[in-house]
Amino acid sequence: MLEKNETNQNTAEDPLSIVSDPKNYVNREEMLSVDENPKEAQEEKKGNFSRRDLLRIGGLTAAAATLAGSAAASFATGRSDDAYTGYGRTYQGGDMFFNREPFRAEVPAMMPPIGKVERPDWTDFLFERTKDVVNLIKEKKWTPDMGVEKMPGAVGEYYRKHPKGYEAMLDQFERGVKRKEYWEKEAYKHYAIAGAYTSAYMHAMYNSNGSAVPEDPHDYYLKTGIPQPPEVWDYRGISKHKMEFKSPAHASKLIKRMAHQFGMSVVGITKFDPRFMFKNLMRGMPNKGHDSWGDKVPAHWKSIIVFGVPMNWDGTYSAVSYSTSFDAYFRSRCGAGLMENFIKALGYPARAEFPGSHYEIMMTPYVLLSGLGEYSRSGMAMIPELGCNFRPAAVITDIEFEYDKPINVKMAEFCKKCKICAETCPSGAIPFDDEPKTVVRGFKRWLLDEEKCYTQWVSGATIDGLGCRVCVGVCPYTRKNTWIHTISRELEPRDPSGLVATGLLAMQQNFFKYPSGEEFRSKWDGGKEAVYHNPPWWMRAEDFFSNVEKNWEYHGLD
Amino acid sequence: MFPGSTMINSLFWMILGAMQILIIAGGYAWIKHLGKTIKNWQMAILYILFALICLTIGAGFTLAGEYESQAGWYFIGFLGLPQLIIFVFLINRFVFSKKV
Repeated sequence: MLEKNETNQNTAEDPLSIVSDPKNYVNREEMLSVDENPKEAQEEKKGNFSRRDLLRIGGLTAAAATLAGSAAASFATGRSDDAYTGYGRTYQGGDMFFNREPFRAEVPAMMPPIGKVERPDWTDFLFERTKDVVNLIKEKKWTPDMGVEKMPGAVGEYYRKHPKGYEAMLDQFERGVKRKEYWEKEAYKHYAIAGAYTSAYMHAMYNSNGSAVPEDPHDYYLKTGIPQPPEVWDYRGISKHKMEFKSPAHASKLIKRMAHQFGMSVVGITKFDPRFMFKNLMRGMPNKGHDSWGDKVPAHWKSIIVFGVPMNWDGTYSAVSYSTSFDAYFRSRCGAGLMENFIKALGYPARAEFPGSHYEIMMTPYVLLSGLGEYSRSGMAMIPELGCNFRPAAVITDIEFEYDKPINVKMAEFCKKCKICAETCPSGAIPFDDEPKTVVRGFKRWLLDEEKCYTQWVSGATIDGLGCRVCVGVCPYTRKNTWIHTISRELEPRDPSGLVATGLLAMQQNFFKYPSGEEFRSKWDGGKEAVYHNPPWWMRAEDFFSNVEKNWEYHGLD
Repeated sequence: MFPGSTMINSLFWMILGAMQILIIAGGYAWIKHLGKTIKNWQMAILYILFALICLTIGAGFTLAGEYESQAGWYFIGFLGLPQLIIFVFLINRFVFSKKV
């Protein structure tokens, strides 16, 4: 009995019986769906919305919202004010956001001389040449029918040495007339706002007395007949209370901050290097010093502060006809005028070098020497923050600064492979050579054919016939300030393999659509007046004026 | 995202950040719901890839914001599509082709 009872008890309490009992079998799905929280599982079975449902649906919704949010936020970034470098946070120095310090070099890229360095003569300066020829015609000393042989003066000598340049100059005069006729006949409607925008700045730069801001010594000389050598002009109105800087570093720090305060996006300071000063050119002297100045360098020209701003971004991308240089010219010359007066008020001499063509110096080499940018295929200086979209001005003074060193961020290297500017140049002025080949005054250069370039300037469907800017707009470095370009800008100079540059160039050449060079030309000149980007909404005359009937299509990017 | 705003912009990014927790938790909930399992490092890889896809779409739309919409679409197509294929492949590898 006892034995039987013990057996029954053992059977009832055997834990293995639970496992072996078929009643307790569950299928795989049921087993996996067992929840740690039975209450929640019960709610789910009843069809209620459980915490797990919330996680599942919420997770999917959050993923979709993140994708959509990334797209929307990024689109807004591309359109935001902050993307428009030079038109938002300039005054705190926020436009100069690229850290140049890791990339300082002793000599700018492609600037070690390979032969005897020669200073440029004033006749090498196309605008000075053209002005001189116009003056000869106005003063009835020469007319084109007299031929180049009878052209007087240094400019005559120049053109006799450069007969192709002479032919190009005559062609430019003729084209200028045709452009003007075309503008007056029809283009003035199509490009009414762009023309007015250009005019507004142009007339703010020049009034009936000459240059408005800054004052130009040559205007003063022409008005009074009193020569203004730099030893006089640069010291005019100087404060008698000379302020002594604590150190050259203090001087640099203050002057750079003031450049931003005066509206300049980027600023650098370098020692004045006379190699890039024109010979026989000094504003304020009789005949601009063409006959008398020679190669003198004023003793107080010790340092040069170089700064500048970008042109209006959307207009520049819509070159030729919707773009202008005058907005940036106006701003950089205002900066130069303000800086000149600021320095003089501290008791130091100062002389502004500013656009349109108020220079004794070539600007680009000083942009490179002051560490602001690098040399480019198109001959312009490229700035890490702005690409080629940069219009510089400068002030020369005798303040002792802590100078900036040049930079090497491989932009010029990129130019060796990238030929987008050369491919889209309407005049074919930009060379296609892989390496710079031409020796210009002691330096190897990609030689821009300035006569061809200027021929395109005067042929463009613009109000003034001054500028083309296609090469500026299409340059892969001429990009607004958004995170994608920041990644490129920071990665490329740090990549020793060159793979980043190769990838970026492949994208640039295949993802972006550029009209051909010919298509950029004016309609009267055989082109289509194509644009890289369609014009910004505020430059579309047909949307604002009742007397403008739109009879054209936009083919650029939107 | 909201130009000129001093508050909404910050709120937007805070909410978007918080959503990332929900995405990861939701991922685990889906895997459990499907009767599968996943290791944390595998989930981390999947999330990083998701973030890369978001960045690629963001880059494309940034270009569109800069009036470079054609380049933006090309960018998404050429870089985003391979990422999407890898993402699907990895889900299959980490989740569906695994024996429980």
